Amino acid sequence: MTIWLAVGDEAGNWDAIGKAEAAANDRRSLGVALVIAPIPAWKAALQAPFAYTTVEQHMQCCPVTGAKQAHHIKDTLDYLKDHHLQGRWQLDDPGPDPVKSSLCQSFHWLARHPHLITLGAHARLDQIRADLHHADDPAQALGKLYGLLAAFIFPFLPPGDELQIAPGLRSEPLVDNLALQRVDAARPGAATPDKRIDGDSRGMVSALKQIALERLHPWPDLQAETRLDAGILKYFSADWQAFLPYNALNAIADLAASLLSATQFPGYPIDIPNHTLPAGNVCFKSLDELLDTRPS
Amino acid sequence: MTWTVQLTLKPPVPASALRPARLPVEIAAPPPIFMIHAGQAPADDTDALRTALRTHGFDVRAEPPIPTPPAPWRTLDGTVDHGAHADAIGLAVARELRLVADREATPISLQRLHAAADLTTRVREAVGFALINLHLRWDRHTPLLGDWQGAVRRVLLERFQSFTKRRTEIPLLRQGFELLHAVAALRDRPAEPDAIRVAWEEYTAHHSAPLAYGLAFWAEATYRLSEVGLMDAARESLTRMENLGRELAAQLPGLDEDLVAGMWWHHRGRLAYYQGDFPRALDSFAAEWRLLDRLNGASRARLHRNTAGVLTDAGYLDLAEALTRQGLATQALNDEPEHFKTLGRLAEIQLRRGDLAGAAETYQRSWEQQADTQRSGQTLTYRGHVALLAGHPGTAREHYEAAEERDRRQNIHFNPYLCMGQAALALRGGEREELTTMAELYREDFQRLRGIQVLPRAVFHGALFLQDLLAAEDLRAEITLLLDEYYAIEALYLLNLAYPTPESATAPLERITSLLGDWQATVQRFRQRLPRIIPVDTPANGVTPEVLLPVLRECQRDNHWTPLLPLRARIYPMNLLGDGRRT
Repeated sequence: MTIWLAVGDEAGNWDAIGKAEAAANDRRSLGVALVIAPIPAWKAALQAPFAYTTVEQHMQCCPVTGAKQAHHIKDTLDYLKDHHLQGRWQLDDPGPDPVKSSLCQSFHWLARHPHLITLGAHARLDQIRADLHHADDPAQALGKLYGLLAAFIFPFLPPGDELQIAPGLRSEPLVDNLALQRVDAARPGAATPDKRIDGDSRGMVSALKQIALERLHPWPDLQAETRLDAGILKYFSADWQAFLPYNALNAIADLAASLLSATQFPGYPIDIPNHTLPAGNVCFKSLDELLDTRPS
Repeated sequence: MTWTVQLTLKPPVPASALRPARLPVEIAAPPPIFMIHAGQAPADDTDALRTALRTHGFDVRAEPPIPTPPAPWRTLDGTVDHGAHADAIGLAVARELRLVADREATPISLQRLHAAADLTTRVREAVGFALINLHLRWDRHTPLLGDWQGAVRRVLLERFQSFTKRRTEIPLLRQGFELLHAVAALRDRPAEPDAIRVAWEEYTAHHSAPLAYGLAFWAEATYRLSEVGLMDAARESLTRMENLGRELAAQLPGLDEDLVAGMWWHHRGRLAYYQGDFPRALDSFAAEWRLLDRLNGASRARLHRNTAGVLTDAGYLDLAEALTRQGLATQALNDEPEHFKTLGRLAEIQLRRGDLAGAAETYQRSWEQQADTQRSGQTLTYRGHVALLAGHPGTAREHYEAAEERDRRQNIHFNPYLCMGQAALALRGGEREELTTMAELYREDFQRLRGIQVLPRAVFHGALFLQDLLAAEDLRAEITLLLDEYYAIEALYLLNLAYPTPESATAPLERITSLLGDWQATVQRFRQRLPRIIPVDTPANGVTPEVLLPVLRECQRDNHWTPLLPLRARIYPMNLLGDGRRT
């Protein structure tokens, strides 16, 4: 039995989904990305050379400063703006800017990787509100979108294998946390609306599993042979920490979410047309495609 | 037909660790298109069914659909196991031909069928049945097949007498056109059991026809014989049909619903109705109603009319009228030859309701739609009844005389329905001598009448009784005959004439209440089975069991006929006798 690990991250501003002021036809894009591979493939991928270092080390450095910290694309957006590097990008022709060049190299590496599978799901905010936000809880909606993506890839795993999904942990505004809202309601004057707290991982994970299994329900044979689980990365296995540094994995998931944004989100500072991506293991799907319930 | 195939989907990305996914996917079978075989058989064709079809000059085309992957994999490439596809198509063809039943449509059934030693014979029977049942999809680009279907519709379903006959070298079609000719010819001559038998023997002397062709011939024979009231012969003919049906069903296990629907077993209901067995008639018709969507227009209209007939006789006039009008609408649309019969049914409903002007007009329309060569005295007789009930004896007499003339032209010398009208006319006019003459002239003819014709017999004898030409004891015998034929409502009319008190009529009253109770239950069951056709909450109307049973209980309780008397004027055709007072 092979364990497949899927690490995920969100794309777009998921806080907006819960805000009352979000318009009914809010066209902002939201999405999630998962990077999936068997554990040995992850290990090999991290140890592979990247520029003058390894992938593992590259993914633990700031793309702008090179300092040892998380490789987080969001941190580069101000740099790109200041240096007028926003707009249409061609990965095989990054130009002279070292930051842009490094990012292009990272995107190229991920898109072309023979063993890491990059999946993404995306939709307009209003559609996510209509189709996934029924619990009035962004964590639940996010979990559902991850679940749809998990169900999409699940049948293609070899029988007997196990897929463990670790969606990206997120923080959320205190006001979005339903449990704390109730506590606050009981303590008048204690509310601090601008404060951010850890998101509701439990709700997200359970929504992920529930919708994935629901979608696979018509094919019980698939689930009989292959297992699907979801949780928080550090709790899956303490052993992995030795060879799978979590911040490197999370950085790769962040890279995938950025690639999703760059190829699918109108108005994202980086614009990489999908058809210009090098052929590889990247597959992005719209929510319409994942939810399609027309009879075959 | 739907079946399940294994769809193999390519992974969305080429990563070597992923595997193609195998998903069972349900797809709809393409309807096979049957056609004339062009004559060239590919040498490598191993499909036993197609080979058998070609032996009889036919072929089939069935393209498998390419199944679409289900969501969310709709955009991925998928391939299907061709073996499973071929089996599914073979099964679709076998099911269409009724060679396997729906419930047994499995690859194993198909294998068994392919291996059957008598496959070629069974396929011949299947094609023979399909050619006259018209349930297959035939190739639209072959004029011969188009003409054949048109001819079957005209002759077997719509009962026209003419059709376009084509020359063909395909034995089943050649024999088929000859069969249609023989069936149409049955309508050209008087319906006599011997003549019909000879016609069939002549046909089979020249053609080794499939069983279904016999079924079609004897279906028409049953219809013709029952049309002219030869019920014993009609029942014999139906038995021949049923035997042929059983023989055919042994070869075509998927035949069940086809035989229930349409013209095939419709006669069961009709003959049960003519026997007065309303429960069996309505149950038979209810079985057909379930399959209404599969019936052609002519069969639907017939079902509407004949179901309405049962409901009319049981007094459910609103229901009967609604069904009759639906049947009329279908027939008018197609200008069907039996349109006049349904108009006759509507007129009778109007007559029973007391809408005599409406009935007169509808009978007139029915009369106008009949071909002059086919007109018997029947419709004119009914028009005479309407005039009599409307209090126009002169007009009634004119119609009866015209009916007599028509019957003579058709070689009909004794029409009991006409005689009963004439007797009622004489009674109402106080023409005792005329009645006495009629009694002498027709007594023996009437004495012989059985089956549905005990009704005009009872009216005739009622007229004699009311003119003091018949004893009460003989009238009681007529009541017994009526009840033997299940004419419960009509028998009520004579009851107070033959029996001084309800107590003295205990035995016939018990039979009547029992029959009325059965009908009430049957109609309720019919409504429940077919709520879409007949709303359950439609109120009963006319002289129904719902109306009569409480009245009869009251009569028995008070041992007096008074509560029944006002209803007698609504009991047709006994009410031709007027208020039922002895003169």
